[in-house]
Amino acid sequence: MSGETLRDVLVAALFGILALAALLFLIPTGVQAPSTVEQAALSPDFWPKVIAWTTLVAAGLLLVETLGAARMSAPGPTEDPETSYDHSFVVGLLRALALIVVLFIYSMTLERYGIVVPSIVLLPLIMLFFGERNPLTIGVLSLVLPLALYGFFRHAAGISIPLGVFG
Amino acid sequence: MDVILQALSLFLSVENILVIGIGVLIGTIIGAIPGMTTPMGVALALPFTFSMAPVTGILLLLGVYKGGLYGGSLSAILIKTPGTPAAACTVLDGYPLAQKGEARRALDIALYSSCIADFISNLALILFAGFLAAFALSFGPPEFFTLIVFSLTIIAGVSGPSLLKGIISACLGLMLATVGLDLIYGTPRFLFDEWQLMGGLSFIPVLIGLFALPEIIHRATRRPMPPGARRQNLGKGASLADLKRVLRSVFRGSIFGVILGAIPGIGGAPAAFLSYSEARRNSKNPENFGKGEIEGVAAAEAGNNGVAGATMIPLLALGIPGDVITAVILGAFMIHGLRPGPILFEQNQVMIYALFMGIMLSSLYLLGIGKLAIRFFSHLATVPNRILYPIVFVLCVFGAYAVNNTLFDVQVMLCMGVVGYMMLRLEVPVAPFLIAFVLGPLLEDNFRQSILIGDGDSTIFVRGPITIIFWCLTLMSLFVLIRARITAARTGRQSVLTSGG
Repeated sequence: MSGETLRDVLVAALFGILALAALLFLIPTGVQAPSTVEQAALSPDFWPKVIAWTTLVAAGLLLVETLGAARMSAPGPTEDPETSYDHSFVVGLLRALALIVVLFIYSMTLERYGIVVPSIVLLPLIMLFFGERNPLTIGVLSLVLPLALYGFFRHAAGISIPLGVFG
Repeated sequence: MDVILQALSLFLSVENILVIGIGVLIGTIIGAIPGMTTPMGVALALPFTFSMAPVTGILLLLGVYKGGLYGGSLSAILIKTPGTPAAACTVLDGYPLAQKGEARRALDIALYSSCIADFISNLALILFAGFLAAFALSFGPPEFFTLIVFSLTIIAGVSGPSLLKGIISACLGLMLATVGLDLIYGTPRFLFDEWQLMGGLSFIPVLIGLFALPEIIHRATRRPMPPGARRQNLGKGASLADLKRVLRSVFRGSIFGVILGAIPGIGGAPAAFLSYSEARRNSKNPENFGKGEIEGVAAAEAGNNGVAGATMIPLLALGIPGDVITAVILGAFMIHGLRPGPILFEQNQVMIYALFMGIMLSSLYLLGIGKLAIRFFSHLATVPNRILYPIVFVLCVFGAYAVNNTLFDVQVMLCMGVVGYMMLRLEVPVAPFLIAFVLGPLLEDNFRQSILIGDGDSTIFVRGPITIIFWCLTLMSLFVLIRARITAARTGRQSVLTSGG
């Protein structure tokens, strides 16, 4: 099974499962419909059900199409000057996962510490992660950008940016 | 003639001429900052108009409005961070152009298209306000519904090699658009005890998450480029030949913008998508759409900016605000003791003509200030990714928060970033998701309102010439796209109509 076929099978399976989950669990528990509805099409769960069924049918067809028919040859990806800098698949995936985890940890600190201070801490970490090594650039940007954005939103736009325990 | 001379003397003051420029400048800057929306900019400028003369105050707001509509394209093209749903359409081709080192060309085309569309829209406002207002009033929910169905056929065009993946992507967008309180019964849908979802998922955090974050996360899979390596060149600006090439799409998009802008409640996003769709359908190079086609940028911007003058039509002619921005402008009129509508045309003709003069001047300002903005903002495209992406991320966090002043939207943005990254890795096209998410609420609301009006009778969807025309256009569009796909499958070659996205 080629990588492309495997990917499409994965898409079909993933969305098929999601559609089934929506029909069997998410819609019955997540959409509250009144006990009496004049027209079925007016019911709050009508539209979500139509979408879930369409997803299920499309996922099924994608699975059949992928497994049954020979795939058309897709055009090659657009020439990317940075392709030669790609990490191996596993390393790349691990780095992406690490970044996602860091970003979620950052987002969880916002409630308590506000946006400004966690951003001052996060910025140098991501810049180092992405390969910036100039300490002056890292230091200045990490400090100036969140403070400048805070100043702009707070004073020019009148939007109160949360400072958490530092406020 | 007397009225025009009086209007000219009312309009020709240093304050009026300055204030339009200031408005356009503020709007452009606000539009370019993710999270700062045009309605926000207009609302922020409103208190400053209290002490101004009515014409001066309203011209300031109009300047902010027009600048804001254009400004969204700057961040959309340069950092793939659309400030508005309509600017999300500009991302589809604008960002790939910037990635190819043609940022200046994309920005120039966006500016020229915006200015031309804005000018056409202003002309339509001045010349056809009465006629367009009457036409707009003939649009009820069934007409809206068929119009949105027709707009959704673009999904088939931007799905790339796999139509089924495009449909799945669109379904995901439609499903997420249903989150929130049900509009008819007021019952919760997919809230799961999270009260912050009652109003649904906000557009801006979802769009920022879907476009900007996957790019940043994907960057993590690459090694750092050596120090000194430039991210990309700015390239040359657009040539006259480029402008000539896109002119048809710009005019077409402007007309869509004018017609849809005149209909209350539609806004710039459907106009941008419809214009983009039609440009792709009529283009000699449809296979380039989604990969960096200037015609795509031009069409999206023309559709988006074509609504600018036209949204004033229902406001001035009927006193009906078509969207949040015109509602704020209506507020400005009322603060100055004026009530837009037919009576305003009769009793305050001089003021109306003075406003028209200012509106026309705003198109010129847009060109000049847009050029300056391009010069200033385009340098973003040369900042190395290792510095730019962390900056963009923090900008996205501030922006996502600022839309509704809630940290919940930051979480939404991050979650959508992960969804977008998975879609990127699984090669599920994002464009259908985006179109469905933006148009989904309009589609469902108008469908259900039609059912209510028709008391369950589905013939309401073919109740008049407008609905029938849209159904015919939808069928024709689907027929052409499906035939192209079948032909492509038979010959084993990609059709130009199936390779976009």
